[in-house]
Amino acid sequence: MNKIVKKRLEANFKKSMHYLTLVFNDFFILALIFLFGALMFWYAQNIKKWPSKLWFYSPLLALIWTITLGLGNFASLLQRADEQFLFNQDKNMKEYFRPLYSHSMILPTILILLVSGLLFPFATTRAGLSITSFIWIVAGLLESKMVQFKLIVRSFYFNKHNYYNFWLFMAINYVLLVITIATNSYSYLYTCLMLLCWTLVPYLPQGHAFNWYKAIEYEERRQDLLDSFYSMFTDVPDKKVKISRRKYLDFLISHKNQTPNTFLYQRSLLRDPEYSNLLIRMSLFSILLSWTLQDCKWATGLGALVIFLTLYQLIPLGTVYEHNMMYHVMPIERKTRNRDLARVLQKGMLIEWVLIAVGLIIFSPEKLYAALGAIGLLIFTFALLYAYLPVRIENLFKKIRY
Amino acid sequence: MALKIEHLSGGYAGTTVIKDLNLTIEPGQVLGLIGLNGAGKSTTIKHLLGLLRMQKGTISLNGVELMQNPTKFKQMVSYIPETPILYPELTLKEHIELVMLTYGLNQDKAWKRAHELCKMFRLDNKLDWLPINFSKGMKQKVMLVTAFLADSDLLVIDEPFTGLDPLAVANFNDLIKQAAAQNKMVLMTTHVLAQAQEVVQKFAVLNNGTIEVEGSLEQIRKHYGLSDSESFDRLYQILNQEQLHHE
Ligand SMILES: Nc1ncnc2c1ncn2[C@@H]1O[C@H](COP(=O)(O)OP(=O)(O)OP(=O)(O)O)[C@@H](O)[C@H]1O
Ligand SMILES: [Mg+2]
Repeated sequence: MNKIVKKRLEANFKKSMHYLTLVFNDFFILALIFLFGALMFWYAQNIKKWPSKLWFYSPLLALIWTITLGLGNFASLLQRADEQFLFNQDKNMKEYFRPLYSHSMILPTILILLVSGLLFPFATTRAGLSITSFIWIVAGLLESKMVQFKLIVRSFYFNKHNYYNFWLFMAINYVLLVITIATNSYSYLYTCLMLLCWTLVPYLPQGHAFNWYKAIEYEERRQDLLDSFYSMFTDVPDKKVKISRRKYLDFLISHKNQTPNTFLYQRSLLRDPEYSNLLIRMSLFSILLSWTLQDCKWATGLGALVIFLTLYQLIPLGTVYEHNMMYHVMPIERKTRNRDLARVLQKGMLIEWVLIAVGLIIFSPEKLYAALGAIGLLIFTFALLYAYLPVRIENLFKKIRY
Repeated sequence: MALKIEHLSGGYAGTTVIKDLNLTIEPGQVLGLIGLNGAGKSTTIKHLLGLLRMQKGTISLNGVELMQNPTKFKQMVSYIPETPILYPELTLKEHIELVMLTYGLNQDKAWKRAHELCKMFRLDNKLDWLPINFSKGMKQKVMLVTAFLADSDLLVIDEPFTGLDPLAVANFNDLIKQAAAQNKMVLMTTHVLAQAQEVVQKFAVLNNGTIEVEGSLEQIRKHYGLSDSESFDRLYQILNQEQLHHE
């Protein structure tokens, strides 16, 4: 058992490193870090001006801490095939999981320390928390995370009672934190309580049979979440392209005057993560820029860049069906394909413009200039759509004509 | 009014698989194309669907030539592939709508038919799902629903019986008989002769890239000198020997 875990930990570490280097090379993340720095600067500048000891400070602090506590899953590193190969090892699973606790704690520890570090000036000077109380709470949070992992692992067995429910766990912690912060001087009680839980959890009665199905489901969901995070930045080969149904976006689909091509392209644009995520990511990025820059000239200029980059990367949407045999078998008219693709991309880009324009106007201090900037962006978008796009589409289909 | 494949030669870039193949299907006729693995059944079908470039010959359906007017030709053909091919981003309902749109079907009539078909194959409560997540047999059923919905003059089916449960096979046979009764043409390839026999009137044996013999199973038996007591597996042994001899 020990050997298996060790091997898997090593492989997992290599994989994470590989993807993390790619993620941190992505311009988007670099920009986010930069923006984050700007936000922190603003926070440091302004914190002194905030009034101290407002009533909502303790629920707010508790909320931020609770959310942080919720991040990070238990990495069991189990695989589908284990159900077959390890199924008679139920008794030894405890040994299998042992080294995984500390491994799983890495990310939550970093997050808890980071967020707490950021909260420190606010919590101690504005919310009236003493430094010792603060340290007790952070220690309590780390313990609470350990308790959570223990409960999760326990819930992997067939037990009489269900020991773990995410929302219940969060709710209990939230209530405890609110009380702890409000009472301030008794904050070590939270820590002691968590310590007590931590020592008591192993004594909860536990079923003998390991619930492979549940454990593997949990691990696959965790992996999937990670993979979809990585796949925002790079291709993840283990990840099958997951089409997201996104029913809530169906209202964006138009039903009038459709050709087979517009019918198909619209749905790919909304549901194929490769294209929909791009659109969403770029729009959000531009909105974030407007918010942090607080300067509508810069925000407009960078907005134009974002619009161009989005369109540029969306054009390959035209060829998504080239490898689908049914697309060639069905009597789908090719003559209108250029126009059909342009129509769908126009709509997508206008949606992006709306998002960017709204962000620009809301977050810029000078509303009038921001509105002018938004109009400028609209003109720019139309110019791209009518002058640049048709040429690019022509080239795209020329390459694949046979 | 018929499907006519005349002097077809073709295959893939560099290899010729089909050599001078002739085949006719009359309205109301169900033709079973049989042959060894790799004989070229699927390749013939790909030519018929306009997916491969022919080296020689003509294919016409109801007087429309494939090469002259591919869109009009395809309008009259629907196809069920060997393994289901779906659009990952479309729901079942949207697969149906796409067929209506591409084949220009009347909405109300087509929806009535679509509901019938979905019910028949027990898909009627899955309309809002993405079929890409269905089981193999269910995916195949989606292909059946969309193909029969199109109501085309020619139905091309590559090995229909894999992955279908007996209930679905019975339903499939009924649909084929219905189509034949409505003067449609059907071309299907299969290895499961016993199952095909129920609906197929004429078989054609594809060997060495061309149709070696056509007719009822009895006539084919006679052609290869099989006695009544011998099983049809013998036929495949004979074809295998012939092919070795040919090479
Ligand atoms: N994409 C391809 N490129 C090159 N050669 C191919 C390709 N597909 C098939 N072939 C070759 O063409 C020949 C005929 O294959 P085809 O798929 O038509 O056989 P089949 O009769 O449908 O067989 P099966 O009963 O297994 O479905 C085979 O020799 C095969 O190797
Ligand atoms: Mg085949």
